[in-house]
Amino acid sequence: MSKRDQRTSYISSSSRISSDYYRIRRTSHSKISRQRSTPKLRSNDDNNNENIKSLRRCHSIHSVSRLSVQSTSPRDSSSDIRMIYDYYESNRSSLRKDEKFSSNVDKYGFVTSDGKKIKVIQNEEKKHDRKDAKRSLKWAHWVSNSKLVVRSGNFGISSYKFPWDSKFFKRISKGIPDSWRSPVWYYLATNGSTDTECDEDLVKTYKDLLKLPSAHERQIDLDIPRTLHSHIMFRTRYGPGQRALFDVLRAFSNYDEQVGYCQGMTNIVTILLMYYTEEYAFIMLTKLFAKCNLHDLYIPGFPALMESFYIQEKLMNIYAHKILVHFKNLQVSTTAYATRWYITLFTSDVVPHHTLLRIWDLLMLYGFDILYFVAVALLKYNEEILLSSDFDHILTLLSSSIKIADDDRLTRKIRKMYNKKGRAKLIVSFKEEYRNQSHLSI
Amino acid sequence: MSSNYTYDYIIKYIIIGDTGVGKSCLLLQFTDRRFQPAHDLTIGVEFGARFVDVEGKKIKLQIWDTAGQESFRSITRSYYRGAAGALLVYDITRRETFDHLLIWLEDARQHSNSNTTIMLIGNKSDLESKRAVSYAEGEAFAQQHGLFFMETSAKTADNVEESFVDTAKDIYEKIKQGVFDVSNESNGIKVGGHLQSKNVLPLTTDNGNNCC
Repeated sequence: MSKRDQRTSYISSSSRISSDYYRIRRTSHSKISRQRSTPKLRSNDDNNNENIKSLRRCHSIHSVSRLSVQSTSPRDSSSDIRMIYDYYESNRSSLRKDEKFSSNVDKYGFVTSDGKKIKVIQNEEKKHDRKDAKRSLKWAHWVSNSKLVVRSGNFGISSYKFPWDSKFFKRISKGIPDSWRSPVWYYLATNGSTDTECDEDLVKTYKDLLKLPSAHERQIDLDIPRTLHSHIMFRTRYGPGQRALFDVLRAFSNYDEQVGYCQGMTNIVTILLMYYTEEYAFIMLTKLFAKCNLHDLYIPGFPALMESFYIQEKLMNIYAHKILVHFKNLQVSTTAYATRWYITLFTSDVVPHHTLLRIWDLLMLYGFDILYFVAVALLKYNEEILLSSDFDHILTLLSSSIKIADDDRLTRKIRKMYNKKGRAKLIVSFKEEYRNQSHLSI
Repeated sequence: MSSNYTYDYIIKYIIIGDTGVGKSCLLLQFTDRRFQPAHDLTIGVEFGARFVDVEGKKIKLQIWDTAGQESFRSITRSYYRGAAGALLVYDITRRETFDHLLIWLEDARQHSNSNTTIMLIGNKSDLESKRAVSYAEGEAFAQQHGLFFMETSAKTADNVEESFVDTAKDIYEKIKQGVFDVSNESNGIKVGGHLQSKNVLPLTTDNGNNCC
């Protein structure tokens, strides 16, 4: 049976598969008595008072409802890969070696030292943390005073109804307090929908998709150890974080088969897994695909990426003309540095992590179009050094992590350009121009 | 990285091959002389540069490292044309990366300059116990297709320097023989400022300074 046939039959008979699945699950449980010490991370039966607490981000991964089942497909190298992950899941003790790192991580979970020296927290960072805590409380007061809690959702993230107004947007542009990112991103990515039924269906779909073999498993497995190795969650080979990453990506490869798996998606899912359970990371990925039309970003030929280059250059012509001319003179092409920016939605260490979160706050609010402005603002932020640099230096600078000293300043730059009157029309006209042009070149 | 640093030639390279064979690690070992076991995934293309000395000439290598996943070829292909040297890399511990060499070679031949020097590299030679492709096989493939061949280890740095430098030597030989039209930068070679004045070849002077 071809892969496509399997997919079709899966859709037409999902209920049958479902019952099969539970049968398989039962047998697998009786065969391998997994002694899983499940860390207590996020309560599933939140009440309103506990919402804030339960929504606090956790850096380890919960396998509360991990339901991976060995595929019944013929043995291939892919199923071997799954077996390795399964083995380590039931033999956690063999993974423990790397856990010594856990004591030396920053607040986001990035390993800050090699275990000998602990990084001194800078005053600037302390100040930022205090501010974040203060704002987090402010949000909590605001939410409880304005009665924004709708109901307790299954995972505690579908429970809010924020007002879709400029005041809310302004709060977001100041940076969502980190403990609030999970529900707010969800709210924004779903455009304010609190349709829990739809989520339940997606969770079910996710679990069903995990039972299918994926042609991309090998590639995904090759890329996992090369993604965000600096983060405590993802550095242990075959550990719970890598396992979750593997599962979300292989499930998604069967969800959007035309996309399958594209390098760069791994980075995006790591960020989601820092804020959501595995199932909800999958849901958020589907919502992000819908909101930002990421399908066109990843399908062969990368049409949305090519369009982004065009629009970015057009915007540079308006806002960063000197840089554009300088780059043209030195033959620095946009593909050379911005492919990574767009393909990973700026997640692959393009900017420091705290800056990335601010960019994602805007991405979740405004959608993909904001990224053209982020790109221009990043260049503009470094205008002086870029204009005085040669070809090598420019590319070295732009292909490393760009230092941003003041996130607020960068965000203001982005919003100023984005909120300019006539922006929407301008982008539409650029897109049209691009389409007409690419038709001609074909 | 100073723009005042003089060079006699700039030669452009491209590194290609399947995903996970160690292309970025080879580049890092060559440019920074270090090995990073958990090197980040290359998305699109990445850039590196280093000076080498060939017959007393200061040659700057500008190297494009490319993403190995097939879907990225639509982007990386445009980097073939401007390259005078290509390092085609496979992993000696993963047979399939060797089996795909023909596809890579066809791609390179189709999209690059016909004079491009291609060096076949069997990487990860430190993992002898996991070897899946013999040295003889690699050598035979290279011979059959007229490529240079070396086995390297980005981890131990074995042969890394040699693979980049030997490619440069061959390209320099070709420059001396007049195989390359060095007046046309799109061939992946650029002549340094002070050589331009001595050189009898007609050169475009739009960018006559030493700035690259």
